Amino acid sequence: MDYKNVLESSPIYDSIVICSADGMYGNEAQIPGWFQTFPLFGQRQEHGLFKTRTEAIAGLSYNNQQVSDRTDFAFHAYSLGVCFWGVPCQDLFVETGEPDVLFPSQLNTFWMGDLPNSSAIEFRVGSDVILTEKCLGLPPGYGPSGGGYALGVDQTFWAGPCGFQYTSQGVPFITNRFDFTINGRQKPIAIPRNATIEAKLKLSEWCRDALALMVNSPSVMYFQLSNSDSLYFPTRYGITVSLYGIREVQQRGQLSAT
Amino acid sequence: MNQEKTVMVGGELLNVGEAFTLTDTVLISSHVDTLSTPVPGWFGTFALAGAANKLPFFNVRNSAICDEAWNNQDTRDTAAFGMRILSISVRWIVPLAGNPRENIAVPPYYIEHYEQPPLWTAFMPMNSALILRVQQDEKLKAQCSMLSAGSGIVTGGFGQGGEAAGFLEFQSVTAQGNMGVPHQRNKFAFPEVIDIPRRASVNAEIIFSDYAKALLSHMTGPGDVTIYQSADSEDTVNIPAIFGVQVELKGQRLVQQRGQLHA
Repeated sequence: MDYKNVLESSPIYDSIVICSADGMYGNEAQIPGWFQTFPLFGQRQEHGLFKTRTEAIAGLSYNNQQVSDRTDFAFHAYSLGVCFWGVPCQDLFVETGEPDVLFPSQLNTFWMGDLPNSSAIEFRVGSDVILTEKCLGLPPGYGPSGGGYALGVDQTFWAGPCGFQYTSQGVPFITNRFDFTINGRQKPIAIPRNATIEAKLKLSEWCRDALALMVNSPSVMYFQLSNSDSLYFPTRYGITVSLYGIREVQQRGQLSAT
Repeated sequence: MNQEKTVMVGGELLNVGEAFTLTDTVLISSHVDTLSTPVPGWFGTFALAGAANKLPFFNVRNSAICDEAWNNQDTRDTAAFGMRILSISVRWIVPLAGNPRENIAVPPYYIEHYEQPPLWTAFMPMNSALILRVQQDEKLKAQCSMLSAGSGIVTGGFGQGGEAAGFLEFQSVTAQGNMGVPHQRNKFAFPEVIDIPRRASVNAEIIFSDYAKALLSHMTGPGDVTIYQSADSEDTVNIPAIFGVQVELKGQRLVQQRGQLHA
């Protein structure tokens, strides 16, 4: 019986997450390359992606690899993007003791703006360095857009400072990614099955120094409850690197199958 | 126009391709509990949605079960016609007229949950994933944020009016954002078309991470959006806030040729 490879579009993605221990569920606290504090994340100059985690380890929301250090299938990579994501509402609290809380409203801007501005990605296939580029040069092509907010008197009375922040790296449009084909002028990057690929996130010294100065744990979100109590819920910050392209898999039943 | 095949059955029948979008939606609203006919897979609270293992699409509802605004399927669990899928999109629906409020017993008698729309639109997509299946084949596994909506609201600005700082406790003005630029071409496109035979089973499911489930379990409501009826009146109406997730498959459907200019 003849087998035939067919082409299917598929993204490959992997994520680094920073979240306090209170916000880690299941085995998340043991996931390699995830961190519970900003200083711990900043202590390492390089962070590897597509190298250590799988869908089974990290969950499909953050990774869709079946194998941690090999490609699951032959893949034609058309584009690469990096997304720095965080919490979109700015009522972030950091418990400090006295005064009770701080409002680190700049934290999101730092994470989703300054950090990609001062870090880089090195993308390798096997031992070949395919690309070295600053992260803001690798827009993900997706992310929140628009939005605005005006403060009402009820908010000043009840919730203190608040605001929304819909931040993306570049215009969140599907084609706004780093294009290996240069608008179709050259072929996509062909990655064999079982090849090793890696994206290394490289933090600049400024990044690492700034992260070392951050409070130990990421901030928490603030919820009001109907019994006038408050709930503090851990925030979660992440970096997702994605490859968009076409995978080769064995033909399955389709309308076009013969 | 694509001519797919010709079948002779007492005359020449011809399948033609028509631009089409297959849509299905999961709603989360207190309104769900008051519907005349319960809709499977819809939820009255965030907590219930978070408690579900997954949100299924395209194999649960049809347009007769819920309104056409939310679903346009003729059949509930199989494709009503052959389809060629070109793109997929996920839209995170939030109330647009204001933030949901929760009534409480002490002054000012409500809590405005301004954090819920941005968390739903801009944070849940980062902490959830979608699997698209045709029959038994998994065609796509992706973080939901990568599947931009391709539609949404483009809004203007806002300002803090006198009432906001004055004696009337007007709720603050909100302009909700989108996941991705709301442009029809801004959807996750399949470079290789996915062909779906007629009567094949198609389904998508959204899976929340454990973190997102825990966050949903702590979110109250959704409550109501309060709207003042006129500028000189403090009479208000409360509209149930609607949150939801809408998945669209865009492409061509293959149907028998009907009378057109080119027929």
